[in-house]
Amino acid sequence: MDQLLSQLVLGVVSGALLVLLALGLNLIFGLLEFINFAHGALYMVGAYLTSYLAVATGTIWLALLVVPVAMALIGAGLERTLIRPMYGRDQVDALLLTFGLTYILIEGVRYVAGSGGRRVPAPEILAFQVNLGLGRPVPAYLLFVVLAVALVVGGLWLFLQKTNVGLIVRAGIRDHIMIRALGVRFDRYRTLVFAIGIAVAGIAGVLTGPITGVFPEMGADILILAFVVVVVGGMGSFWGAVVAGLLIGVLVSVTTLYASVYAGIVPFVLMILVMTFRPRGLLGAT
Amino acid sequence: MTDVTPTGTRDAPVADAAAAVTLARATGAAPARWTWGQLGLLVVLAVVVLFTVPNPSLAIGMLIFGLWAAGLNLLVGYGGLVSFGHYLPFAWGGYAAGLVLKNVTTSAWVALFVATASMAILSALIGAICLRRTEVYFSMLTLAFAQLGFFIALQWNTVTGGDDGLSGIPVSTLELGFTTIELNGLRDPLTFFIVTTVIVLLTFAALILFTESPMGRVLQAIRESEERARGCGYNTRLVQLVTFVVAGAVAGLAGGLFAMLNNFVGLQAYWLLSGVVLIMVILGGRSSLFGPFLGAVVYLLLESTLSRYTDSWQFFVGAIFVVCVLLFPQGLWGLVTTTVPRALRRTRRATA
Repeated sequence: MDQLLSQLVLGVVSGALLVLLALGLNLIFGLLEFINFAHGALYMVGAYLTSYLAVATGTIWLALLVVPVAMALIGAGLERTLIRPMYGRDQVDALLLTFGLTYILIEGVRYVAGSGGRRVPAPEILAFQVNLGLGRPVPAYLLFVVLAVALVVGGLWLFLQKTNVGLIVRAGIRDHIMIRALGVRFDRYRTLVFAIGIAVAGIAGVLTGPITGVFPEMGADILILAFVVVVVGGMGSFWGAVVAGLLIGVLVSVTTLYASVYAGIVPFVLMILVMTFRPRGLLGAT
Repeated sequence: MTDVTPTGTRDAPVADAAAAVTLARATGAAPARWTWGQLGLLVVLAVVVLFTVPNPSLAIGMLIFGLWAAGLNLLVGYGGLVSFGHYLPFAWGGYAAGLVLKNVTTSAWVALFVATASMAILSALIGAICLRRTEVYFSMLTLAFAQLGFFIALQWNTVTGGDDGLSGIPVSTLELGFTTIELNGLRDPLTFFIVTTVIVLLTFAALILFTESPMGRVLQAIRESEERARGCGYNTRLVQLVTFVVAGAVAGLAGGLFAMLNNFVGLQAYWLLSGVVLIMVILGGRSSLFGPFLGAVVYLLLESTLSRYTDSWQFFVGAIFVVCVLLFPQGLWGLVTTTVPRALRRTRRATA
């Protein structure tokens, strides 16, 4: 029972990180209408930036501030240069472009930092265990990750629902031609949303570092899981991504405990079931 | 070879749905394709590869990968369905052929038939799920299936050899009625090359037939506008499913050939090879069947050359890919088919 509970906590943590990636993918898909294949690789770049900053300063606090900003700038730069020419062309072209970008980013990081992984020191202030009454105590850093993700998700939700910019973004997801006709400079919002999506992936990269370390391929597997989360939750559904992310995180984690052989397969089986019986996803609208 | 007129303008719309294709070609959205001329081009390319590529297994690999890429282009270029998991049928074909050769018979016919037919059946099942949604959903679902297959192959090591791969596949034999040939890629690469060329050419001809058939035309009409095709009364999902099965079966056949060539099936990272075959298609050009074939040959040449000079060759692969998508979405072959006739016309006008 102890084992199950601590495995559940681990599942929530990995699910929370998945949620961050899936939300970024979802938001970008909603407004920019393409799936950002480079999302995982950019998450990996964020994690590497964290690793260098954390080794230099001894903790990840500075990285937690700097990396999202840096990733947002990188995201905005990418959108302005490479992705902008893709608008108005086949949806597939942007997908392919970001796919090529993945190769460049992974191989570039390998060239700069080497193929082996790097470690990221966990913040010392969180180097204690918390007793949640679950039997076995839980490392405080994991709770911090869940809390941080909750804050980011809440912040994103408030941004989309309560601010004027968020209103325009939501309206743009519905019908961007109408938004343009109303005189909104829509291009800027595309850049903004892409930058936000990448920044959120960067935050996920920062938070992952102290748990698993960083390595060039870290983005590949989690990207595919994030795709599964988006599909299971429902394309374009904010809370669908949150629910599906946590669900898949917990499912994988619990399967690892009882039948580790099947752990890798579980998310895909779930996805196939969802696609068969509810093709629009758990909370998807259309 | 001299057939440079767009097919759409030569034979007038055969069906309502074909009109969309004709229109797209006439307006330049889809460049002119050489239909049966492609088969001649393929023979030329095979001969060039035979005499210029010094490494025989690389030369045979080019043909096999070319077939794989051409099959994928049915989905990507003709159907507008970008599969990110096309490594799955290739690997399946490899395992199927390898297991048959190892445990049942060393007959190449049986091994290739099992690889192709079993993958066709599996494709029908996978396609039925993947095609519930098209566009981006389809891409992500195919990727997820490839990942699922990867995990199964990795864990089921009593059958697949797991991480070590399936080794010790015996040399296969090809019964031709009057004689029996041993297909040994190492000792007698020329025979293997010729047999592969024949199989590839026959399959390629079948692919051309498919794209020129009424169903192939409907497939392209669906790419242009699925609603319009459905409005014309076509069962669009069925057409897409059949295409998915054909592409899967061709990849299965290519995978089986590749396993026979190496006497080994290795388990590679799913997304790496699925990506490679997609790069071949984009590099060569989506608008024809020959384009991806050319793309495969050029890609493998690049890979074998670049990897001799730098460990980071994948960086350049990615860069080439990005440049291709940004600047030459029609690919190498598309570039040739659009610029050469235009240049010819210009010189003709200049001399006249």
